[in-house]
Amino acid sequence: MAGEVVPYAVGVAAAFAAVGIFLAAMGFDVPRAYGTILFTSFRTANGFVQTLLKFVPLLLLALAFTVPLAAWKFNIGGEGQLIAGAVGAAAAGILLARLPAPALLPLLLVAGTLGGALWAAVPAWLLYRFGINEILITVLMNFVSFGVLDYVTTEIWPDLAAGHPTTVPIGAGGRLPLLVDSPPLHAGFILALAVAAAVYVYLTRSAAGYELRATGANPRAALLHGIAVRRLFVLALVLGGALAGLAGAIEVAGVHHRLIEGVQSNYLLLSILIGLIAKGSTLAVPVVAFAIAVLDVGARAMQRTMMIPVEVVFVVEGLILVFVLLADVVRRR
Amino acid sequence: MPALPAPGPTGAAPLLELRGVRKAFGPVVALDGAHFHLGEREIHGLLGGNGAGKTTLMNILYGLYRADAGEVLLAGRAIQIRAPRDALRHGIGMVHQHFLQIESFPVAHNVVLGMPSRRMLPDLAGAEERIRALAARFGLEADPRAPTADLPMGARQRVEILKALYRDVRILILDEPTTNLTPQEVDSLFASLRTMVQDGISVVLITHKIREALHVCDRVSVMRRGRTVLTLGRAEASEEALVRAMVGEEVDVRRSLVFSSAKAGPRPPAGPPRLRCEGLTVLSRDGVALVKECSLVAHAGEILGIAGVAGNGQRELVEGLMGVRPVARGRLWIGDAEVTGADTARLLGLGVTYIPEDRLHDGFLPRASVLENLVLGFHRRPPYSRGRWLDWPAATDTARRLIAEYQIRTPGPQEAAVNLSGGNIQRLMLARAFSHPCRLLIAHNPTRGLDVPSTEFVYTKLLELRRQGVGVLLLSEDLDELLVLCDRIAVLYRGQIVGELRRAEFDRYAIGRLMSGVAAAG
Repeated sequence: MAGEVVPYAVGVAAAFAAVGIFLAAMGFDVPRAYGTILFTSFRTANGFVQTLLKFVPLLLLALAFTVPLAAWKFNIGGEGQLIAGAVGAAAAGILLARLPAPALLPLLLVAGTLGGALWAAVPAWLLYRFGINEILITVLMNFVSFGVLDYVTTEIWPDLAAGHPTTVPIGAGGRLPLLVDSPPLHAGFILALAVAAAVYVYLTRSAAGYELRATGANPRAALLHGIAVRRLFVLALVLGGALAGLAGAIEVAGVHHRLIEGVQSNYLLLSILIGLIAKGSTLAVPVVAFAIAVLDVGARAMQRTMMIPVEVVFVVEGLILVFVLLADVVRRR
Repeated sequence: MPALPAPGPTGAAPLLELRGVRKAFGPVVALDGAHFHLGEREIHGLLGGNGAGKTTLMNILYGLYRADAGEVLLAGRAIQIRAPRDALRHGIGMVHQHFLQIESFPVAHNVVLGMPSRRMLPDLAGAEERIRALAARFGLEADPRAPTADLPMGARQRVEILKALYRDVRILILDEPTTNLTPQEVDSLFASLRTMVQDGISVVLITHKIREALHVCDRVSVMRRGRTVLTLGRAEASEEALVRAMVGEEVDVRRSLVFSSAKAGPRPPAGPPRLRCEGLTVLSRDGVALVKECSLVAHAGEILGIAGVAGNGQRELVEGLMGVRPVARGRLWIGDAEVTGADTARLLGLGVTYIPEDRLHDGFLPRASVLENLVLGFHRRPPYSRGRWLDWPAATDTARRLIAEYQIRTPGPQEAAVNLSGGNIQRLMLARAFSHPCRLLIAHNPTRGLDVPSTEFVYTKLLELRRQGVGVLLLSEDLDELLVLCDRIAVLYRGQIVGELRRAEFDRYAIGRLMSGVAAAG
């Protein structure tokens, strides 16, 4: 275990060091900048809650990427599936606004999960029926989802008083309960962790999870040993879509309490980065997702206080991935 | 035993000498202490089991690998061979088991491909003329204008040999040239080799078959575990001495099945049908019939062999039977249950075990553990699982037992399977296939790539299953293997069963005629 962690720690340090050289050359105060990036999340309660709120969608979206990856299928459509989930959740929350919380909240979460699953079912079906590459279709479905999001927020249930394309609020019963009132932390955090644990158990202990991983390791061997490979690809992609859809539902029910344009933030790219750094390991994904959430929150604080562009952190994150992959190559030698 | 440089048939100094060759691939030492003498005008057999290092040694001579240590002497002078180009310049040519040919080219184009030419356009008419002359001189029948893709395996091999002769080689290396030939084609190839030797060419014949080596070679060198252990002239060479040298103490030669002759005692009558197919037809994507109207019955307690030159529909037939490929027409039964159109999982559930041909590509999970590899295909059955959930503790216990029983060298069940050596991967696949009770075993080239002890193990296991009343369908390109093991042999030619022989009727040449489509038996 230690033998595995050390090269990665070196890789992370090297990424920070490389970017630090450039920041220093540009005249910035590097220790203070890195202090801000790394410790904003832990200095104040608000910073920590901000981090956890980022962590929830990042964790679920990263799983939406790694579950199909176990079967060696690439789901690059997490943001479209998140939006589809958010639309489904918002629709349930607005149309059934009068229902009491015990009925509305589960309905809303289920609607979101189904929305994401349906959105992923399109590329899954095209792959199953015609063998069309899933990477292409999942990416293209993202663009379709932007149009849907725009239409829903400006035409179907627009909140005309808001200055930004936004729907009217969902019913009060659709809001996720708060774990902490101030600063507000919603219960989606617990839900996301529970889902991650369930995904881990499913992939490692169930026969279907084993089939998924066997298919990813060698689809031809899996096929010859009685595994319905093409059906599993559908399962993998739809499961991924469901996870992303749940992330969308949690954003609606926990954070915004309505559907807003831009709900997807930059989560897709970050989640793929998380999945790749974690190398698809369900156990590593939560840890990496938390670390990336810390960096993201810290980076925004750094931009506010030191005028260093937030993109610096993207460079660091990108370099971390490069160095982690390099560490693998070095270890193999 | 140290090899003495035996004089060649001409008594002259060796034409070619390899000394003290060593080659390691990572931690695996493929060659250590390998040497080889080739005399003028001789056919020199290089004999050994799989993994003995024969092909590696010759690939070094041909410039495909670079040796870690050792030297090559040609007519007494040390030479450097860095690439096949260097080898060809020194008059050394090699024909590999897998041909490097461009299928859409006519034969003549494939022969001249890669030859240096001073002209803008190669002189194809001249080339065709020369190819015809070479073919006539050495008895290597080939039409220079025929499209390569249409040729059967035997003809494609002749093209490959002509390619070397066209380059004026003086030393020709053939790697297991008889693998895909019918017995008749083997005879004709050996006759051509004799003509070449009379013409002043020296031939190295890589083979794992002792009878072949004794039949055609002037001298035989035996390799085992990367070393040259013995070189004998034809006069001194006996089958027994060669067998001993090949396997050392690893196999009890007297009781060995691998080295036994085809004659065996009477066999008990077979039981009820375990596999029955009628009129099975498998089509390619373009609608071409790859398997045509195949009807077969394999009974309990019987080994039914399918003979045929590779590429005559074996793979398609098996995949059709196993539900991997769609079957266009025909019906299929396992025992009494009709399984026409059933998927692979259903067949496995009925007690069918399948050993695919290319075990690395068709059966191995590189990114998984040893344990997960052992479970594949049995992951919805006890002792590995209770339906939907895998029972990893129980599976680990079973895996530990199999690792010990099948001598898989690995630190434990959790070890990443990529770290296994080739031989250990093969043992892992055998452990998986043979460790579960089955009613029907379908094995496709089960001993391809196995060393002698592992081959011996597979033969023993197949006969044991047969005694236990399992039905066995054995598809093999190795006719000797089929002759030793089978109760009946059906011959597949261009996707059709063209004949079937009972054990009492087994005849190498009769089967060979069927394999080449010459005669359809009634």
